[in-house]
Amino acid sequence: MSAVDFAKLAPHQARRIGGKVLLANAAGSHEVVTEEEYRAFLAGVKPGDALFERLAPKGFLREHLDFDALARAEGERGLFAWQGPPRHVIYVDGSEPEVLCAQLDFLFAIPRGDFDLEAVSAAPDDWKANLWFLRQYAQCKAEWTGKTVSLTLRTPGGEAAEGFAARAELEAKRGPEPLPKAERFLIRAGARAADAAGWAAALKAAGAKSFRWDGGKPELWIEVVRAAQDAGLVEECAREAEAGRLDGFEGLDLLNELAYGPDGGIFSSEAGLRLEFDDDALFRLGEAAHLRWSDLAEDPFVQVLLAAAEPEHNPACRSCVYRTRCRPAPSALHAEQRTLWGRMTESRLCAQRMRRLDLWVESGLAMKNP
Amino acid sequence: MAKAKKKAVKKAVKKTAKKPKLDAKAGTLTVDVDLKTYGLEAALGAAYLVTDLNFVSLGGDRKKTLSVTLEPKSGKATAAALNKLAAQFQAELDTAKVRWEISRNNLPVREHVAKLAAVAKPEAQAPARPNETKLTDEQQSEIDRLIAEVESEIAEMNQTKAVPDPKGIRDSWEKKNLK
Repeated sequence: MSAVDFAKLAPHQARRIGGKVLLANAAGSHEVVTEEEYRAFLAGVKPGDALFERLAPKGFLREHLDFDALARAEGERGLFAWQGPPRHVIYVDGSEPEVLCAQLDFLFAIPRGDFDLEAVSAAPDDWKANLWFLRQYAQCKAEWTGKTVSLTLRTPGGEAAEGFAARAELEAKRGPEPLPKAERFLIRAGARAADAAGWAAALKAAGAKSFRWDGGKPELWIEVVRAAQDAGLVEECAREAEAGRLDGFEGLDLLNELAYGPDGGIFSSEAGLRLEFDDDALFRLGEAAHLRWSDLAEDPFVQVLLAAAEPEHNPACRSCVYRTRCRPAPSALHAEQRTLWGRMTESRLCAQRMRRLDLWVESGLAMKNP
Repeated sequence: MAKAKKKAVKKAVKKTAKKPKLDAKAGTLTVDVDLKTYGLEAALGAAYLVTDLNFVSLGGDRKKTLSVTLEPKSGKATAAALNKLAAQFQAELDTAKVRWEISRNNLPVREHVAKLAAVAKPEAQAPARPNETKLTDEQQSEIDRLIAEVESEIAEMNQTKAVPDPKGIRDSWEKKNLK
């Protein structure tokens, strides 16, 4: 190992990708350097060096840290400013007005001032009464509490309901098939999904403004992201990678999301709710009729969940260069490996996400600095 | 001057590095890691990071020398493969050592940033109160009206269209839990 001047180095992570080295730090800044530049960085760069001019403003050099900027980033990205999850997924099929009422009462007691409420229905025509009530009550509560709520209805066919934005959920088995009209799409890509440009064109023609491409081969995902950019569409996983905010990762237990079952149960995430369909009730936090948001912090399981979702507590995530652009969702790790903490070296989810981000860096797509 | 420094570093590394033990018959590689040079956290971190492709077992003592035995998961490895693994593990060890040194050196920086963040966000010191205001009579009657309206609609729907429900999904929470 070449010489290292530890006194000059600010906290950072590094990863070799495609013959170069990606540097990143806790504030979310990043810089791609050559191997030679990385060795020079470790040995210590001086003011006046070209490398110094690139790295000092981004907080990689200890003597030139902007503590105010770092503290702001820590405040925005950490639990200090957290006001509760922004995303709430409610399964309406089989629910009842009293249950929806209790669930919304719980939801609106969260300190946060704005929510995304996503109703999920496999048969919206059969459950339109519940959807109607959900919309009415959510709007009443928003008015009474002074909070804002945006309503989305997620269905397999992209069906619209008055007052809800439509989000269609479908599978990408191979190339694009005729798509329903919807503003947003959730696409679960299979291993054989193909034709990124075709998918982007089909989504554009279906009236999509944004979509989430979940799963599938990372190499196809990066093509999809490029095609989406060319078509003027937003791919939501890419947006997560760019932003790196604590509350920005869809599916992240409690920090980004809560889910509500038709029997009144409240779950730490939608993945946690779906595990109960397989008789695994680990992620049920309680019942809407009895649970209060203010009591959650004292629940030992909630404390464990928050600890497990913190990259600092995982030996692989701790030193990962993508620490600010990825968050392990305990419910997803439990579904995969039966552990909240995850064995990242063996995790297919981690490998897929890392590969996506590596391709992102290699392809030179704009990974925004804060 | 830089050349002399490089030579000195190389000499020091050569002194402290012990040759890994290859057992081609058993397909394992054992590396004795000097904990005074690398530190326990770096040694454990490097051992963890190679668990994707290798079974790892640890021995030795936590103060002087950690004995790390690696066995490739893919089956019995050749001597050449084990030599390559030894080089990979050494690289992980060196990287982990640098990471932990950086982390230790910057502990005061991180503590200072955390303190600044806590001070800079006054609302973080007094957590926001949950909204538990009681509903007014008007609001309560509005809710009751909405509930009555939707229940009558559901009742009408159930009369016109009987949908089989073998798993009792439509059963209310009370029906399922209060006996």
